[in-house]
Amino acid sequence: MTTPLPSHAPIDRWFASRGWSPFAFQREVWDAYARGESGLVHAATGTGKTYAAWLGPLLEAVSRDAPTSARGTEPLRVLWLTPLRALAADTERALRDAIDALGVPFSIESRTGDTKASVRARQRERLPSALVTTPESLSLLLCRPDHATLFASLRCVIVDEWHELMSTKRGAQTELALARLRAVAPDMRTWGLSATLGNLEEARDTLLGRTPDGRPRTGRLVRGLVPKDIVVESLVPEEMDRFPWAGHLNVRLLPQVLDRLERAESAIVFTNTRSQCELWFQSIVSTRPEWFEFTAIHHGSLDVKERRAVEDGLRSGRYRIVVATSSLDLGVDFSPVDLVLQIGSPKGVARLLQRAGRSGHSPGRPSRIVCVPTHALELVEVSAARDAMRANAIESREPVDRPLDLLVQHLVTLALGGGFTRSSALAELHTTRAYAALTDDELGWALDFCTHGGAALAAYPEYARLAADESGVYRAANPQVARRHVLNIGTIVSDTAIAVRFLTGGRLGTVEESFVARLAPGDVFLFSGRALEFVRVRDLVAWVRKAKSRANAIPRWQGARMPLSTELAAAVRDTLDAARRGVFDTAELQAVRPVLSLQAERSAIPAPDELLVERCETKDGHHLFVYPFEGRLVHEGLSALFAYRLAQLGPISFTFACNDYGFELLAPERAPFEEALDAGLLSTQHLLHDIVQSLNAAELARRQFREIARVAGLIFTGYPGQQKSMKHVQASSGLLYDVFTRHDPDNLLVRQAQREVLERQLEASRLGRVLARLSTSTVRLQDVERPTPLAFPLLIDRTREKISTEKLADRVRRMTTQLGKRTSPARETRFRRVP
Amino acid sequence: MRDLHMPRHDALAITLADTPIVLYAERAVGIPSHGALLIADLHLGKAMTLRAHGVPVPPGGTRADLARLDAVIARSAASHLYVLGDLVHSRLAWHPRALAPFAAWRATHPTLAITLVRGNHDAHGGDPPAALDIDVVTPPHPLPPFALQHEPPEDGMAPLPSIFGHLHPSLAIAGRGRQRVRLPCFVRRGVSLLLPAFTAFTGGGAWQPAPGDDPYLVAGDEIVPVAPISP
Repeated sequence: MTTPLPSHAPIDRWFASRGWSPFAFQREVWDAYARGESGLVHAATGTGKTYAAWLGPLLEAVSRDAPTSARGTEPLRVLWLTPLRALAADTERALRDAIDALGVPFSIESRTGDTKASVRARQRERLPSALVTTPESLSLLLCRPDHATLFASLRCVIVDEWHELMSTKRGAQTELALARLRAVAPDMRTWGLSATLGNLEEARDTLLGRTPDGRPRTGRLVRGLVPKDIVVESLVPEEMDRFPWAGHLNVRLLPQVLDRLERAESAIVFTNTRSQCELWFQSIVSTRPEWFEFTAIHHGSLDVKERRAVEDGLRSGRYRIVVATSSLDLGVDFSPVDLVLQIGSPKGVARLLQRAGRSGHSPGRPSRIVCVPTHALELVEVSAARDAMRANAIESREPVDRPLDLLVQHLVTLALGGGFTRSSALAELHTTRAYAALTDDELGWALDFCTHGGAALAAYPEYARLAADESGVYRAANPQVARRHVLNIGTIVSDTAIAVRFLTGGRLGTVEESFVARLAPGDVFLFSGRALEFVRVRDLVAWVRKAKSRANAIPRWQGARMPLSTELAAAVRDTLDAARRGVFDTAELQAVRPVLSLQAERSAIPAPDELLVERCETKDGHHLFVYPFEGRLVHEGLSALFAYRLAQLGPISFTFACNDYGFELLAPERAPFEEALDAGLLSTQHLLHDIVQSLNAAELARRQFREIARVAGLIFTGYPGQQKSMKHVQASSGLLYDVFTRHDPDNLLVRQAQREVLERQLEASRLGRVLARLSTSTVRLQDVERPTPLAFPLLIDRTREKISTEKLADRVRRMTTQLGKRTSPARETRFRRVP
Repeated sequence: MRDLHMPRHDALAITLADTPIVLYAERAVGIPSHGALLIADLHLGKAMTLRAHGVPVPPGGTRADLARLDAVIARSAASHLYVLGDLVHSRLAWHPRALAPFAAWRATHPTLAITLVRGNHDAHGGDPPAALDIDVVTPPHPLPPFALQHEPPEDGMAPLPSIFGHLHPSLAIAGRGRQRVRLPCFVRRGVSLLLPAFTAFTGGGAWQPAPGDDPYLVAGDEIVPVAPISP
């Protein structure tokens, strides 16, 4: 480049006035940006990544001449994509500080699902110089026929928290949006900000996509600040023999937690689920009412106003203690706190580092995270996580591969955004990493699906979303398509959200419909840190009032359980092996020693070359507990495979549950385990066939179809305020899946559901390799009198899959005879009681 | 090794309001003394309606429903078919393309009398074309000793024998080994009977088990009685 690089002087002056000085990696990014490069910056949160990416475009603007708009501000220059809309306000503030300090003629606004209608209306006329938005809101903007003009002046897209997006369909949605933007603003640069991952180059290449001739776009990988030392410690129960063996909703260690909080100036208590978050907040403030003033709760289902108030309070120092979920994991900027507590196992090394990084940013002081186990085996996990962290075993995240449901959605976006031809769409799709391998046939299928519902529906013109004109340009078939599409865009699938509001009007947030369905008027539940009395539900609003009595229920949200990462699962195996050899060299292992000894006494702790299987009978039936220690994802597939292969030997019905350590198969009769071993239970022969069969038999694909149906627009949640009248045009995804498999088995969305389940098992979790390992292991079959500490968490798990080779009527008849008069409608657990 | 010596029924004869009736696993009920066969909630045109609203449901469901109807008409030897409401899902069912398979089916049963007792969907969908030769009546329709209707009788009315649909009843049962199955069912409530939805293209419905309700599960091609709901 002949143009000289812009001087860093304006930044140096501003930083100096604050007593800061730029880091070398920030200067590197600013210069790279000025040279027209793109790239990925990786470092822990709160280490200056934001300004590394943001100040490049600002330097470019100050070194340019007068602004080009009559308003005195530049046209749209920068898009800042954030994965959480909760982060938008915060990000906007941080970015605005820099605009003001450097005197850049930039306007900045946010646009997310939370943005007010008046602001949206203004943005319809003109976008600000910098727009902070989410992948979903960006896709919505791309639906506008004039989006090419709207984005023509764009110079840079910055994708924050790319590691969160990358391995999800939202990441693929981001890739598609970036491809579209590069088509309308070819000189646009792309910068990603990421936490450290095991596969950073792949993360960069996925973000930057490919050139039109199919080569990966070049870009820089910039390493931010090297992480400080991190100290991981645990609160250890004083009486191990009374500490629970399972469950994540208990507050046994509350006294010790309170003690730590007492001594800290400021603290964040990270929890793994929203239910856990509500429970701990309530436990803390009800035990120390005098702390209520400066203790806050923060999670993704709380109303945006509440969340913002908490974020502000955290910054201003109004709140000393915040109990949070991963909603505070990501980018929300605030000064580091004294103390980070982690309730439950961190479940992954990257998450442990991320959360620890929130503490002690003063130079020379280590970050410190204090883990609070909620059951005994979590002590093993924490000890293993520390080892894995020291060994630098950071998780990789795999990008998703051409999800067709998202493609169907994106084609409608492209059609609304001015139309497309088959060849232009294919060329643009090929510039994304997610769809680089998309075949013309697959695109053809997706187009058929959008135009007339696919081959099976060719004769049914009443279904049409898109139509091609004589010149082959696809556009929306009717105006209804656009209305429907904009309400449905995105890839996040959740149960219908029910708003929670006070009778007096205040909004508190949302809970899932399935939870509200189980509430009776007068029931008291815990939400947003308050005990609320349920009054009634009407039109997707649950009306509540402040309760006078104590809460007896906590809402549960789907997708709440985080699986142990593969890396951490391996570390747990090593740690257990050390314990088996009598090495208890950490405080956690010392503490959990009695429980592990009991495990060894009742059954065994498996050696690395052993597969432990425990068999016992209880009043529930005959249990087989199998412990490969490979993490929940592998166990999902493995349990289905075991159940399938066992059930081939004769009619039997299994239900099964899995966790991070193993899985349980439960049947009314004793399963022929020894025969199955002889018949090749652990064999890798016919593996693919058996896996496909078992996944189908266990209806895992049927469940996966829920997300696919929603993303591809098959499930329509209705227009706002019209839910009732839409009911006759809705069908559940399960019903649709059944109809498709029966009457249109070649439907690619059904195939995708099967493929997604299969890939999750085969690739993401390497089921084949695990089975190969297990097939050379010695099977250690233990008949046990009572469930062991390892078995216990599985025993009480109510989330179950099933496989049956019995005739349905036989199965039903047996269920009715076994229980005799007690056969009654299956009683749902009404809701989880607060312990 | 397991006790499966209970009788198997692809149809089950019971007595309702002192009248012998037959529950068929095809989700229909026969009243032999009237030569009558009763079904409810066929929801013709549902797939078409969904398609028109952008949900690409493949065809074939209606054909499967009608084949099952053929089977139960044949083995009940009924001469009169009563549809207890919701013959159609919406008015699109009378669109020529949706109508064709049903009209063809009707033509194969020229001597079968058909009476439709109007349901809530029929009210919006409109009455069948005259060519189909279907009698349309407003509920309740007498078929002594029963009143035939679509929706359940209102609370507080005298407990007259009635047969109805509308609620798409299904019941989840649980057994040893944490087994759990949800199945469509007939529900006997005193002298009245609630029918399962005839169409297979429907999910669980609005029936809330009440003490004393006596469910008969439809398990594939068999009827399995279970104990009445206990208080």
